[in-house]
Amino acid sequence: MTTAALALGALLAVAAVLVVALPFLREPEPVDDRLATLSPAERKRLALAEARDQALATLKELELDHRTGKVNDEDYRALVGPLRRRAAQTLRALDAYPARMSEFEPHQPEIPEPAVVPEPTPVPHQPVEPAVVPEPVPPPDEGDRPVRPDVPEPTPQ
Amino acid sequence: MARRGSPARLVVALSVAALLAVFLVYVSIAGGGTPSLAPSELNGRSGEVTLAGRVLAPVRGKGREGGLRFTLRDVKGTTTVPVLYKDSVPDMFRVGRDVSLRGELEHGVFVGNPGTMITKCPSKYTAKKGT
Amino acid sequence: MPELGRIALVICLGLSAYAVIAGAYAAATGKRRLALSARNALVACLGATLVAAAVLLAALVRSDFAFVYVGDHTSLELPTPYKISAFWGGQEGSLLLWLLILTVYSTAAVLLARRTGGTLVAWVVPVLGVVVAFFSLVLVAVSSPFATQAAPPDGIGLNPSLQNPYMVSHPPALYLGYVGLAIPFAFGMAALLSRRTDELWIVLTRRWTLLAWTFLGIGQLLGAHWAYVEVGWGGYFAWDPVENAALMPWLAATAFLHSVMIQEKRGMLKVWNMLLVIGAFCLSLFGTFLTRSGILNSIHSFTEGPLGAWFLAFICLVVVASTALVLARLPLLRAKTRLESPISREATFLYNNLLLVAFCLTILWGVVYPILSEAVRGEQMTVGPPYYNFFLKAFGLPLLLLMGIGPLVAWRRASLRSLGRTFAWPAAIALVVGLALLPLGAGDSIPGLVAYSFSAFVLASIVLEFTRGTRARRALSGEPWPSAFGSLVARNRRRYGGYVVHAAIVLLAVGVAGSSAYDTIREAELSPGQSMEVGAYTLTYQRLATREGSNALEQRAVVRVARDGRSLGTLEAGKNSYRAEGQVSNEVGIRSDWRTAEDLFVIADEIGRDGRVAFEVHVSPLINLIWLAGGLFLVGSLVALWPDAREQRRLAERYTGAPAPA
Repeated sequence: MTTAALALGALLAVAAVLVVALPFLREPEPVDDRLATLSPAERKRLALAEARDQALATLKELELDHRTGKVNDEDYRALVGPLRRRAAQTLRALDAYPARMSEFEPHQPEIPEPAVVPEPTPVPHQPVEPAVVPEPVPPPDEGDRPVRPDVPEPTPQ
Repeated sequence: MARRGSPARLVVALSVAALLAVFLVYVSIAGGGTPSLAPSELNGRSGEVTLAGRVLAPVRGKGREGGLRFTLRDVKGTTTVPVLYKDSVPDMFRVGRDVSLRGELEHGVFVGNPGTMITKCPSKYTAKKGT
Repeated sequence: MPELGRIALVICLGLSAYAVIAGAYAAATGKRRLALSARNALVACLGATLVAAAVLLAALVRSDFAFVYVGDHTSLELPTPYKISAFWGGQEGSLLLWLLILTVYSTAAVLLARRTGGTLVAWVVPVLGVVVAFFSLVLVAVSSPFATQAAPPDGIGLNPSLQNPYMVSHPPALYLGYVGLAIPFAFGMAALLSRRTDELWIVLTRRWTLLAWTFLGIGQLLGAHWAYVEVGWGGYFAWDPVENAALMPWLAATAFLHSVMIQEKRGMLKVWNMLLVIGAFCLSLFGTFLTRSGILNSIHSFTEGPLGAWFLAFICLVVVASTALVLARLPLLRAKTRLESPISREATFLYNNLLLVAFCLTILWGVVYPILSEAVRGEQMTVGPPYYNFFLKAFGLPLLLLMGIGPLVAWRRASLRSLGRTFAWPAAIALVVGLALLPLGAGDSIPGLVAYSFSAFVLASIVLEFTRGTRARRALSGEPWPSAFGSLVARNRRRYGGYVVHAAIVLLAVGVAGSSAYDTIREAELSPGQSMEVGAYTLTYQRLATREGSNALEQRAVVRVARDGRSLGTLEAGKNSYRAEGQVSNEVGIRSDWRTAEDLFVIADEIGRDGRVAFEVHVSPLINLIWLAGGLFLVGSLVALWPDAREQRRLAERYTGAPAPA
């Protein structure tokens, strides 16, 4: 029994070493060995995407809360305008960044579908909301032009 | 529409203070628990304590009729104290097991309150597995 | 074969050490292949642990008594399912189970997150590696399941009171919960280390936290049910340190589940969430330490070996290192918004968090009090159920109320007028229920009555949420009621799954209130033919039956039960004497009334030689709601856990911009 155990143990050890060395064995001469990190442009885009999703989700919740009566009409009117403005802002700011087409998700749409488009749904006893005031969106900063600069594509695994 | 200096922080601070107050009120009224002692620490002290030790033979009597009499010894030591327990014992009770019970020392005999005995399971026979 | 097991564990230790060192270096310097190699090492730990586990399992099933562990926890005549459950019957085996579950979870977590993870996942590897390394080290150096001996002819066997389905399922369920909390912890630390303090770590670990929390809850209910039917003192929770050890991380995880919602919606409480996730994980480690160290007078503690010291050291390391990390990254954790109103859903979540954490801390205080008092005063002082029950009421009742208030309040700011309108119905129902219960005797216990009224409030508000939501959905889509309901839940799984879980907690609260505040206990010594009255029941002791079981002498007092003059059949209560082990076990008789959820619980405390039996009888109203709550809890969690394709797409779109290290 002992020799069998030792043999199996040795086998396990060899397998472990192989598994650990695998990335180096597969790519002895890698084009790029850099661990992908977020460039400042990507960070901004991510922050905007998060802000957009947050704004849209909050809008959706507000609508639901209003329809189920938790938010009265007055509060709704007060809150919905700024929220819609914010959502529109983030959507517009994001337009400046083309959607990343990574090789793993080839079918992502260019412009993300908003979860809630400002709906013209008639709220039972409510006059129509004021239209979203288009505010000038501050242009993206210098040097943030979304021309993907020198970060090379990560080599496929 | 967020106001500078919103009431939120004040509310949070007050809530924390309230919870702390509840805690302190209770602890001050209800006292700080009962001491948990080994036979060697009893030293003739009075008042209600929890006594923990190992059961020694002989075990005489019946819990509900006159009470069960046995001796409890320090788990790691030699001091013993006679014990009287006027209730039925948990299933795991036997000579050599560690038990704890709440009661008072009366005239050299530790009289245990009914329903307060718990047995500790030795390592080989684990009562509760997990964690 | 034990050598293979030992070798496998040593390999696991080596792999995890590599994962820590290489992983940390790779993540810090940005080396992709090295990071991959470290991740592979962590995954390979699973392979090594599986080998070790297989060796132990095979030895158990084959009854290979050359393994000390097998000899100590099984015997030849033990049925096979219990031979398998003996895997976690002792200290060494349970540690191996911990490691196994940890490596499974770690592998799944890093592999599932590899595309969206980026540097975050690169840092998760070394953090998880540290935990894996600790457990491997302990298994190799301190507490090995592969110790050998000259094989005795038979093993010692398993304590008879452990040979039941609960002890097969309760520990693994708890472990699946405890260990699961390591994943959100690791991702949180990785977020700090990689400076990716955006929502990614929360998004990636949401379901993990929910899963671990669900298992912890179910595991505790299984343990409570085991205590109820097998240990048989009439109760199900005794505030024993080990029971508290499972409750504390569950409370912390509950708080965390709620406060991350605030972080997602409003970008607040980032530091609080970090501290909570650290706390939850440390509490689960602490729970393991409590059971291993023998430091407290718990009926559940195992040995007093050196393992306790190792655990304590590891916990201290985790606390110090993670807190230092949070402090170092404090500027990254600034909130983007502030709390606008003390009357808003965020605020209710905050109050809920405060109450949960306060309750958790009071339990922690009660648990460590004996240790602290011994260190300070030289004698060990203990606190008992009165202490815990007080705080259960003081903090639990407001929490119950908040469960009803929270869903009815809007985000950001709720006006008192709209609050008044939404509260009207549930408050009215609560009042009516409270008043209706008074003549039924509920006034005997004020906390109980309050619990019932609050429960009615919460249930009413949950029902209202579902109906209002379905109505709103119908107004939008014109669907018929059932499919409107279905699509409402499908589109808001977390919210409505959460409501179902709240309903389960309410059931639990009602069951606990009923069985503790309104129970009846009577004791009497009866000769055959005599009767006793307990509540509305009349019990007549008929005779004592003695049977020879497969391994025990079974004595049963046969009791006829009647209520309001009508016979309800018989039940048996007594004792089993296991000759081989020299033990006596309590076998209680329980009659559950399914219409009223009430239990009649009969204990044969002492069986005299002359046939006289000392009975202790409990009537516990509504106690079966507790077990029903477990089922509902599971349903609600499943709804909340269920993958949502729409949500996944949106998240993938958000994060595919971040290149993954393949």
